[in-house]
Amino acid sequence: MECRGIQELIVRYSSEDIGEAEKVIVDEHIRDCNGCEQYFLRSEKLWDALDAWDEIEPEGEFVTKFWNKVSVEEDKAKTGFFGYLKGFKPNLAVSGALATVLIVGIFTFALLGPGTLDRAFRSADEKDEMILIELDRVTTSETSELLAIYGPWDNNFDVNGNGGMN
Amino acid sequence: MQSDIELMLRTKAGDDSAFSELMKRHYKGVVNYIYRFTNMRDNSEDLAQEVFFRVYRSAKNYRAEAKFSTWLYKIATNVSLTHLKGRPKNLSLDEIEETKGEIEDQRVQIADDIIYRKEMKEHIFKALEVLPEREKVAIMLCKYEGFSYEEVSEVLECTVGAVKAYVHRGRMKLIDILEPHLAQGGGYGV
Ligand SMILES: [Zn+2]
Repeated sequence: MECRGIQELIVRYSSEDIGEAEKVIVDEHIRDCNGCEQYFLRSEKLWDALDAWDEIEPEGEFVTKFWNKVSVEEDKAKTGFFGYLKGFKPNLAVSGALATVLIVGIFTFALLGPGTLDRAFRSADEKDEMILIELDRVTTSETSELLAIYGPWDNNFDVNGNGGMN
Repeated sequence: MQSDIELMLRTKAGDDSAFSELMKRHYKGVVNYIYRFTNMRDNSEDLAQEVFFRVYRSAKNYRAEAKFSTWLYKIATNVSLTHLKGRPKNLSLDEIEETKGEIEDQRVQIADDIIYRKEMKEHIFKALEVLPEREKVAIMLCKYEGFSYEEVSEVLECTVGAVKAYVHRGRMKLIDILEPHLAQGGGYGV
């Protein structure tokens, strides 16, 4: 087996993802090949070397900060709505448009029957629900889209580990 | 002790104290994951707040199908990637200069090991940044968050075999990139 193939086995050796027969192949090869022996040593060292990047200790009060953020966001949402109401100055054109909508609405209600009013009251609750469903959907699709830059998400992936190396 | 899933279901039912408990369990891991993903210490807590905020906002739709932590780290990966994309490329270099400055100022007190770790941190970040993102995510979750291949496969939405391939390829690339720092004896000029 060529050295690059051995090195793939070496990495699997270090990850403890290797069979006994393959272990023997690696052991025999590195006895005679200095390059692969050095590679083996580096491979064994890599995982622990990554520990040189220490964890940080978050500043604390994370949970308190979170709930503050939540209440700020909630206040913002309220202010946004009332701000809109405050800044609302009706003029003739708008009044006319509203009147038209109202008349059309009454006719529609008359045509569709009493169930419509019920539905109108329920729609506020449904809207809340839709926002959350949409948020969930966006978060999920956003994740897939962003991660899609890795390539395809499906399972037809070359698991032999010999593609993509350069 | 209640499981993450139980706490999330309580959150869904409107119990905010359950969500506080979930955050206490996971915030340190998420902050560190984002920190290592972006190499930006200052922003990592704010971004972790963003992650939990998204989780909290979508709690109403939570279905106890996937493991909570894989869902959490999927969102953390997403937030980190979005953040990295908006960041100027040379920022990391500025940080290295800053770090070197710090080292200069305090060189008398700082032990060799700390210098080694500070510089190694930058080498590791730069090496991880060279990897395709799937390999980077797989290695970071396995190495730093202690995820199993199965858990990583849930985050990356792929097979366990594919995760192993990402980890192995990523490791091979890291061995090549970090070769000068993997010298025998572990010394870094020490
Ligand atoms: Zn060889």
